[in-house]
Amino acid sequence: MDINMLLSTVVLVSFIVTIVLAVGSYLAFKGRERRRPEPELRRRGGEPVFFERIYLQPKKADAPG
Amino acid sequence: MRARYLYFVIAAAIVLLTVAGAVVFMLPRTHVDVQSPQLRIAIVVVTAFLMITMLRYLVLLWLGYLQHVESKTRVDSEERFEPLVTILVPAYNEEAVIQGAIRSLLELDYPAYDVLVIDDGSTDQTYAKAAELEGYYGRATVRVVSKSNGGKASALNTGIGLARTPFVLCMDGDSRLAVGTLKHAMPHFRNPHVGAVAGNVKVVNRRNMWTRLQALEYIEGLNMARRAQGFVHAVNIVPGPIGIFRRDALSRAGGYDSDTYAEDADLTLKLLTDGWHIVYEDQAIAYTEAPETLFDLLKQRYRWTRGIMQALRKHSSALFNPRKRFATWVSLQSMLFEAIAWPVMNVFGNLFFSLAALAAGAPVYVLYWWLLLTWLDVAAALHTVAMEEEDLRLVPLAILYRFFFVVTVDVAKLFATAEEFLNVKMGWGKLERAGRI
Repeated sequence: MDINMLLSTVVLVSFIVTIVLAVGSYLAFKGRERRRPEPELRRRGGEPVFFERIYLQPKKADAPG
Repeated sequence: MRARYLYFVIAAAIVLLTVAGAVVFMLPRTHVDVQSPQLRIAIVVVTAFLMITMLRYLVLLWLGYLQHVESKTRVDSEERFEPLVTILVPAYNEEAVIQGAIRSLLELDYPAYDVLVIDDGSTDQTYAKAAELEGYYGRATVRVVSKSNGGKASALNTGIGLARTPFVLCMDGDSRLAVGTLKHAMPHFRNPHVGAVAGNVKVVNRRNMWTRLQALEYIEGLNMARRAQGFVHAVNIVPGPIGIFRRDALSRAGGYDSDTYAEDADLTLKLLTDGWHIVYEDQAIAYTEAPETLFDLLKQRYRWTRGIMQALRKHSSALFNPRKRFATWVSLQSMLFEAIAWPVMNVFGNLFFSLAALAAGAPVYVLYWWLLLTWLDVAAALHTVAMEEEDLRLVPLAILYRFFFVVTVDVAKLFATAEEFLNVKMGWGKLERAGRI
């Protein structure tokens, strides 16, 4: 096998292996993201951590007279 | 100003003439005797791929070079331009890095500025650690506020509302700025059309192969494009780690929106479509931590890609309206090209060519193909690394960059694009920081 053929084979195999590995890595990444526990905030229903949210009561209309 | 556009026209003419000349030169010398229609199609596709690739590199490198020459030869008037600036530091669970970030901000070479840290409802000690450094430091004051958690966009909007200066610098809590950042960035605002200055983001944690390759990518890939766009005053992404804005422009644009995962790209598109010019300053430097593992890198690129797609979809009307401002329209088109067409071309073009060469029984062409693309990358790396006076040891990494890095990242981009079109649900996915800066 001459040097050109050898290098061509190396390049070709490297490229195909990289594509396969890249697809595999992506699928592994997605799988890991799916298994990851939900963040604290989302478990608490998006409520803030540092501050208690204050819900203002609607102001009652002043009584006439 | 007229000279700028003369340069631009000359640059465009040279690029086009070069490409046209190459085609005219090559055509009579190319003897392709193929019977198979599949192979003919392969040759046409590959030639188109090569032409587009060469054209992309030529345009970006040439415009980038002009921007470089312009910035090096710019003579600032003797009258100083040093308006007050507020540096906004949004922070969510950044206890490992927040004090280092604030301390670095106190060392900036600028006469008067505020630092405003916005703690976005962190669950760790970020607020307490930042509050320890609150106070007056001569040229700079540090203020720290805390708000309920709402995301980076919400934190920056809070900061924009609380800032009392005509200009604001938005950064990440885990980044550090170079000492001369404000001194070099602010003179651009002498031009009343300039609404924002995009800074130069550099990878600080060059500890393993992934981060070193990203360091090269920031210089050769991201900054090369940003520099070229800067020459036509239409940078299409003011990066999250460093962007300096005219506060009026931000207010008129309504600040950051939370409806995309790339709030920086979205805001930039809003400013461009409002008619503001956006320039690039390579001496306004933010050092940032790049993902150190493959999974974190994929997570970051996944989020970037989907965010950019969302921003493009949101501003799609501007994509089809070249009359408003031509440079802006070109910049938007290039964003679309880099987000979708370029990764598709990189992955499928290479795959297609490899398989076609194998099918034609001429695998040696794969070698020539790779040598050509790698040579192009090494040349571009050498040019851009030299222009930024960066570490020359990054240049040989361009070989690995072409072989593995680009393919890995582009495959993730393709999946992310497909998922965005399919509306697959996604989370924020905050990256874990090692606190190395």
